Amino acid sequence: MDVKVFHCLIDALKVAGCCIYNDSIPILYHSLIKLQSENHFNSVYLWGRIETSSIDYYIAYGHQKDPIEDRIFFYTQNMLEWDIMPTDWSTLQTDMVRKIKTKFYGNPRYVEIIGNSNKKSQETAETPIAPNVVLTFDEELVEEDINNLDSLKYDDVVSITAETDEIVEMESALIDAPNLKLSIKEEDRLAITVQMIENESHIVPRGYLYKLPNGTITKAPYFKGLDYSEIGNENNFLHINQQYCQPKGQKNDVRPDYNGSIDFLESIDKDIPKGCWASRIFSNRYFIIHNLLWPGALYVQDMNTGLHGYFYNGYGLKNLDLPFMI
Amino acid sequence: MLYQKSQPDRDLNFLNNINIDIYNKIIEIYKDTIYNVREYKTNSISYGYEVEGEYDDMQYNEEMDEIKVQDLSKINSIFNKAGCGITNDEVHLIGITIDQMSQLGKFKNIRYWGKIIGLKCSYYILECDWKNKELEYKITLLNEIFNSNNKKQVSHDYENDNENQEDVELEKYILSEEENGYFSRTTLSGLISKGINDELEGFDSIKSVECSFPATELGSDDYLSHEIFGFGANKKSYFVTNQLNDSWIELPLLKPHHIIQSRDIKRYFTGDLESPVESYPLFQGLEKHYLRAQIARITAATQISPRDYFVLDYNSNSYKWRKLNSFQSKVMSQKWIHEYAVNVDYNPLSVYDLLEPSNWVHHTPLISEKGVTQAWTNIIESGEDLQQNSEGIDYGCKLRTNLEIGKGDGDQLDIFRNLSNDAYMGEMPPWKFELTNRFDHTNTYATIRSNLWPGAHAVARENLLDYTYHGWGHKWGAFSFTVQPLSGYQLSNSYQDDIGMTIEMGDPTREEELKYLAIVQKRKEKRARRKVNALRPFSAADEDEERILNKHDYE
Repeated sequence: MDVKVFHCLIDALKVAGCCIYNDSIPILYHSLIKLQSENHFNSVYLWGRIETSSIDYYIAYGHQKDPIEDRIFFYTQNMLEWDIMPTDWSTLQTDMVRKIKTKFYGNPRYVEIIGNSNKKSQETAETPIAPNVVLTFDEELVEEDINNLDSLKYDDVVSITAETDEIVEMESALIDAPNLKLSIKEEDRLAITVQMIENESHIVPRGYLYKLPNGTITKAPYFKGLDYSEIGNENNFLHINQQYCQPKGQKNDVRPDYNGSIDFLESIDKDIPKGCWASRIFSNRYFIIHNLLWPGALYVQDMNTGLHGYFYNGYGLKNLDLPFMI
Repeated sequence: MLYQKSQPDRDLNFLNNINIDIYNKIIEIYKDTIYNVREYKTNSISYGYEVEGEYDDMQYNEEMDEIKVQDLSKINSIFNKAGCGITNDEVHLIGITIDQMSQLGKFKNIRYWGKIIGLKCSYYILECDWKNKELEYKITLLNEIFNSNNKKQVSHDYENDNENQEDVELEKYILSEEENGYFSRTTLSGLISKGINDELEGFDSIKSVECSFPATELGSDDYLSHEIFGFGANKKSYFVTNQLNDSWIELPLLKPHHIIQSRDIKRYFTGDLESPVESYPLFQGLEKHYLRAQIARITAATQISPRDYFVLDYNSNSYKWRKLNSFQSKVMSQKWIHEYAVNVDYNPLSVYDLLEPSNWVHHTPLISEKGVTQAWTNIIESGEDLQQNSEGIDYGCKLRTNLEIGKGDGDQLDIFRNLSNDAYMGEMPPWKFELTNRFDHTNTYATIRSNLWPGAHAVARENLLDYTYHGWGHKWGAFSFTVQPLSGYQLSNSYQDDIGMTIEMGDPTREEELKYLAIVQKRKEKRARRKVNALRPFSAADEDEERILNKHDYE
């Protein structure tokens, strides 16, 4: 949510049940403006809040030129000093973050340890399709086998012992011994989580961003928000995701009013599972679309003024129960 | 003198008449208003001076002219500081409704409970406490309906168990009068009459729904009977609406099986009260029942107050319950154990002390595994035989003495349980204590967020306390939602032992196949050899036996 419109959309956040502490809003505003001027950002956004069990994280990002590619994320706990978010991580760490089901602890230096007890089950999730299996042939003949010889199958003769210890982890270099505990720093976890939420739930209205012929992406200066006729259609909301920005080949299922300069992003209507976006208009004024897969992620638009923004306020945990709930 | 006749001045007369006419008309016009205002004052405003007469018995006899209405606009500004508030527009609209309801004179306490977000609409919820008089009235009305139903159906409700015919007749006589009054009265108050009708409809529909379920599924043994209107978990009524300018609908009574079943399911609210809850495991009811169950669970778990902020309201015990049958009046006489009032001698804690869980208590009764409050279980158990009646009073006295000594928690009744005893969710504490403003300590409030029910908040500072809920109505699960397996289905052990250890086997290679075929071939040869051995002749004893058998058969 752009800091400039943040004050105007507070009521919309209240309606959506995602508001932050009122007293911290002016503080955040001022520190973000400062952040913008220090880093020469074109514009700066308050991305959201991650609730932890002690002190919450506030996440912001800014960009200088390209509103998608050039974004730089920051986080803070004291709302005054913004730290830059780590940007490099391994796939192993991403997998670990996916497995963590607890809330954030509230300390960026806290090291989350995935215990050895958990490791067994987690490792098997990584099991390659063809593991090292030792086949032992059962040579000796048992009395009862004689009678059902005709129904003898391959499996009866062969007994399998899987050697779990030798199952190779994807990045085995990081694991010296099978007993080593996996650990991840909370700062990294935060960065990965934010990136995951960002990729799956950050949406913009169609027409807000457009691509110039030379490939640069800019914000449409006179975009006034979607109107009532467009708002009900999930086609009109596009994911912000870097991988969609790359030029694509010819597609078959393009929309009838396809416009190459604004339809370069993917729309949300094909998201899985179906129905993971819940949209409605509250108080005849605020259009709010909740992402149910990431509870707390929402897009709001004030229908009267056309101001809009994306905000996240939640625990940073994915709702894996969703298929049971809709 | 001569000329001054007593002839009336026509103009003056005219003017005088005008004045009188106008005066009369004005009186006519404003008579209603004046009358109303007077009535309003006596009925629904509690004056500050009454605090002086706090210990005067007379005041409590009139009890209930007092109505406690939440000052929502003031509280909401604090909720906003804690990030759980609503917009000013909503506050004003809700304030209008609360004001209208308070003027009906039927409630003794009205407050905004909170908001539950649904997929299509969200629910605004008001929590209301009926006056004792009104409660009594409604229960007698329900009795009336039950009685008339019982004549048609043989099945009868627990409420009439210990009832002899005489009392019923008497009651009916009283009721018939009362009912006339009721109908004439409720025509005035559209809102509440609607509420009553809804509730009665709900009652009937539940009865019919229950009848339609197979006996095995909803046996009377499995679930306790629901708590009567105005007691325990059903003490308060909840009014909900989707649109604030729309009418408010009273939710049906809470049934224990709804509580039990709602614990097993996790679903989003759609925003339509009448829509069915499609879930597995089965939920036997509509969304309004699910909503009611969730509200009850949230209320029981998250309504908290600083220690000593509320005290038991003994004076509510003084009300005499007439017109009810013996069971109901017995129940209602125990209602006071869930009545709490603001402690006049409350000693405010500092904001920092309020960040300690040990300084907070729950003041709403817990809902047990059977879906009812503990007090109700006690009553049901003691209700088996009539002589328990006196024991119940003893028990009440015991409780009271306990409280006076200071061991108020009581092992059987769950009143004012301390927050520090709450169970952890895995490694996560159940509550999160925080200050709303970390920079300005003169203007900060202690806010307590429930981790168990995300969206439940309480704010407090000095003498001020309030709590609300603003969320999706779901409980936090430390583990992912797991569906209860079918009753006949058992997990096989091989999967249970090493869960996730199902590994795909590689296809056999050519050598392995040859080896396998060789083994099979070897076995076949062995078997053929065995068959040869098996053809050896009978021994002599066998032959004898056979001969005997043959003989026996032939003769």
